[in-house]
Amino acid sequence: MSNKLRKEKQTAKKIIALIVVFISVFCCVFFAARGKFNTRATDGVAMAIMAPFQRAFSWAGSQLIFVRDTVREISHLHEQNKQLREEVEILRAQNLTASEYASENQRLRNLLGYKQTAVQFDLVAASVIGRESASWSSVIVINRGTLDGVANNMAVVTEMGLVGHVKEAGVSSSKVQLLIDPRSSVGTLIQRPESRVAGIVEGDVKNPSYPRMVNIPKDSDVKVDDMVVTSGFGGVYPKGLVVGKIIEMHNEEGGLLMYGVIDTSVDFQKLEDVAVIVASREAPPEPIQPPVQTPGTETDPYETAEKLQQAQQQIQDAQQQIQDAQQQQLQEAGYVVEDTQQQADYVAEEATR
Amino acid sequence: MRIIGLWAMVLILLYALQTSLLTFISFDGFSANLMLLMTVSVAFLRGHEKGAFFGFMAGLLQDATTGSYFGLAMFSYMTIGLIFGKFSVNLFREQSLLPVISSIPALALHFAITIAFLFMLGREIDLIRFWKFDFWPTAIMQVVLAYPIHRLVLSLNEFSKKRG
Repeated sequence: MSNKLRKEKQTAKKIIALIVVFISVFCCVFFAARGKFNTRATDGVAMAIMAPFQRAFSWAGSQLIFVRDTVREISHLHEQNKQLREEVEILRAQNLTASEYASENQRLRNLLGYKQTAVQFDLVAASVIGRESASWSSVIVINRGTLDGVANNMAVVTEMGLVGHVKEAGVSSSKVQLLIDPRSSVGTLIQRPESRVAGIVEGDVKNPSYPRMVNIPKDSDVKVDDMVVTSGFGGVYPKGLVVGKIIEMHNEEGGLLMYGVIDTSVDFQKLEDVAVIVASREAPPEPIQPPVQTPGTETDPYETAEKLQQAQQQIQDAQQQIQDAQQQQLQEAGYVVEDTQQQADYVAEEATR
Repeated sequence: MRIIGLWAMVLILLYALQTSLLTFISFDGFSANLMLLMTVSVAFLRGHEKGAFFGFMAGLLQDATTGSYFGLAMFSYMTIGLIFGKFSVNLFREQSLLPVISSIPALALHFAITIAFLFMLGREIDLIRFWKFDFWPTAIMQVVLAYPIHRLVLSLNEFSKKRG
């Protein structure tokens, strides 16, 4: 009985202690919140105890974060690398296309420059779309035909010089026999003014890249490095188109004639864009250039020409006045019938002369 | 004395872990409350008196180091230790699933006490936001860590019994 009583007493004491503690803590919260309860010392001690552990765990945490970030970064880099590889492939393809366009642009610019220079020719620009497989370096196919004004036997050129002539003109494409084709023959002459020796350029079966200029008399003035241009004989090729340069001279088998090996000005392995001469005319005369003037006595040729024109006009006016005066005197003397149309025309003609 | 020192050391280590390492793996800005989990486990294993005492000590540590209102965590953990210790009388104390399940009502009670104090202190709290963004992320972390903490406390308890 006494044990039970003692136990109950102890329990009651514990409950009271617990209630006291709860109330104390409860009050403590409010006092602390209102600043009436200062726990700086306790806080300082607790934080001093905690700090080393927190620092250690924090370091471990930062290491873990570093590892996690590194893994994430590697994963990201892998993905980025994949994307960049794809981008590089696309850019490479674009670059290739751009280079192709740039190359085409340059070729067309050169051709346009030639077109503007060669004003005596009407040119139709064309692209090489094929080569005959049987003799791939001797006949090409271009993307222009009769619809574009191309016809058989028209000369085909580039800005570098003669390419060949149209062998077969189709509706929208044409076959062009190249200068180096063994069946081709072009009337040519040496460009050098002292020489002007005529010959025929033919393709060489043995050496397809270097055609030959044949039928050159043995005693003629033809040298290595002489430029060869079309002579205009035969009517297919207009005169003055550059064919190439003589690089070697050889004697023909008979002994009376020579032939020259020609390095063509056109690179037939790189033909991509050409121009067909659809019409040609005489080249316009060069504009007359003023002569070289003696230093110290220079005059403006345009000003002089203007003055001369004015003087000429004054002379014409004076002649007209004299004629009018003579006419008047004759009328007054009664020798001439007054103002007939014939007389007027006659006087006008005289004045013009 | 050594046993008390061991418990104190574990308490300090876990609190240091809670306030340093666990913040790196926080879920939506909230990490687990290891003090609460320990209090619940101790209460289940050692009854309401030891539970309340452990809650008092854990709350004191928290309030003294990182607490905003001194006594708030103390009061809350002490209450939780007392209540969950009372419930433990008729249960198998070594059952591991119990503290895992209890972690959510314990957290709810802790938040309820905290909110009640904050209201009494005149602080305004958006309860819906608190429920959505504070309670559930922490609850998930509590459930995840409840079992390992309980195992740790169980081992410590066994060790204490053997030595004591």
